[in-house]
Amino acid sequence: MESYSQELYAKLPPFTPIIPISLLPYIALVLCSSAFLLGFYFTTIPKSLFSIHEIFVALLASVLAGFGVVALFNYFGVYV
Amino acid sequence: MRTQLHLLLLAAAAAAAAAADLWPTHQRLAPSFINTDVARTVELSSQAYVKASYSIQSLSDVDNDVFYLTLSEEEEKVTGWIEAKVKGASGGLQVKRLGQHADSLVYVYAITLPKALPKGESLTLLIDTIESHATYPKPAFASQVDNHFRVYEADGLVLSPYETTSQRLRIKAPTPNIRSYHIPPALEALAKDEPAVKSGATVTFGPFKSQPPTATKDFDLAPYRVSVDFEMNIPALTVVSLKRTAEVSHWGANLNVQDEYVVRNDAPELKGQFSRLDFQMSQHARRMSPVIIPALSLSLPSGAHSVYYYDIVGNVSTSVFRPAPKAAGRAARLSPQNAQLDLKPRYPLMGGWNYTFTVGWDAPLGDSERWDEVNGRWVLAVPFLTPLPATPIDSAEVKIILPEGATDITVHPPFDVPLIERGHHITYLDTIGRPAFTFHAEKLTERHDGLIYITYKVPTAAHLQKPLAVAAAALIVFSVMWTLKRVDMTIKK
Repeated sequence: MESYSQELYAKLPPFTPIIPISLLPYIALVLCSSAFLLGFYFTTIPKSLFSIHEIFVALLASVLAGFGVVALFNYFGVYV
Repeated sequence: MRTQLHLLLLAAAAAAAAAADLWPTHQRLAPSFINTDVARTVELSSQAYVKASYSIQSLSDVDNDVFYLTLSEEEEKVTGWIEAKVKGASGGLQVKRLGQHADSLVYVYAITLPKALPKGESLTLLIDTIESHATYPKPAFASQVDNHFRVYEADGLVLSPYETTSQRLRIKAPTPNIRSYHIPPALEALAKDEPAVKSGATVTFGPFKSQPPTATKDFDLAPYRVSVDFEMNIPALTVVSLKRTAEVSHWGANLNVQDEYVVRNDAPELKGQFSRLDFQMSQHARRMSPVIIPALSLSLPSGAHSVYYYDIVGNVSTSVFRPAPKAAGRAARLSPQNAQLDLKPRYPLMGGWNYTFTVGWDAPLGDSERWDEVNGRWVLAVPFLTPLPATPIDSAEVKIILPEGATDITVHPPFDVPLIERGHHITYLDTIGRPAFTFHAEKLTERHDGLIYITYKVPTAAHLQKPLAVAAAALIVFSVMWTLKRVDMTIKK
């Protein structure tokens, strides 16, 4: 198999993440705590058979939790 | 279900297929050159560094662009690295392994000259090889306060398919204390004047008179073997196996490299019991015998941090990590500093003892990966191994784990690797698993630390798979709570 050119490699710009690493701890804190608070709020919504309000809150909390947990893992050194 | 695709690349098959023009079908080695002078210098250390200078003259105008280097079966078994260049010119020559010759049973390597050598013209080739495990300890057993003596044996006459007009062999020991050297009478008769001369730490055999081609079925090199019995004052460490794992994380912009080493001390095996008292006394008096290896030192890349070092018992705290000093801009580019990791195994390594341990570190991904805007892909460069000075590596496995959802992957190992496996690796927050490539190689030296280049693309959707997987798990929890809220669990009359 052909080899990759070292000169070509040296000219390319280095990898930069979309979200800067230094911001990850703060993002983790903000997203995880807001997901937690939204989860708490979800438990206080009065019961009715079908509520778009409930679904919306659950979705928002899940998405925030998703990004927050990924940022949290990276902050703790488990680079996922 | 793990799916594995094995790409078996036998170096000989690949070489044979591509080098059909270099390997005549009737396996005749074209004698288009004559060795006017061959000077071989062997520097003995824990490996044998053989530097050979072949002054060749061309005898014909055809078949004159390839020089055949032949190694005996014994040399082939220990040789791990061959490089060739023309004296006075920069840049290496292509060395291709052709395999074993059917008649003479020698191993043939084809060295392509920069251009065809016309009849009558001369050239000097510098061919360097590294031989691992080429010396043996004598005596084979020694106590922990004894000295370390080894024996190196070699063919006094060079193995070559060409006629050799003049040749000599120089063996340089690490210390001037050479107990003995042996030259057989058959070889003594071929010397031009003094058959063997010892001066300081160097023993010179030769120069010898003109010889016909020796890489033939009829010529027996056994009566011409020389040997040198010398004192070794350098630790003889061998890495028996190395398993390297490099994991790429785009979210964390991090490259984690983990090395699992099994090392062995190749000094004479310990005779009797290990005496802790003698060991402490010799440490205190700073007179430790070179058969003992108390510590190792690794050079890690400059951005390394969060280094961990553990073995089967647990974390090993006897280590010192010195991160690379921060140098900015031009200074950093001109002299890149390495971080230093000094390891002390749980116990000092006596002759014949093994030690198994794992070392790992994290480094910013920007140091090892580049973004190729033109092709929309990332290019990752991971060194094949971290070289330990003059230490052979008997077998190595390097596993590179790419991010989830990597596609259009191309793989470029730094040298011909006999086996590349493609597999799956599943780790934290993974859904479909990550592609992983494992490179298997044997008989490596510290010169095999070239970079493995891997290019791959990751679509944005694949990047989002991780947070969305966690979001889906959280959503499942919410759904369970939603359902439980609507289930009536009161006890009714």
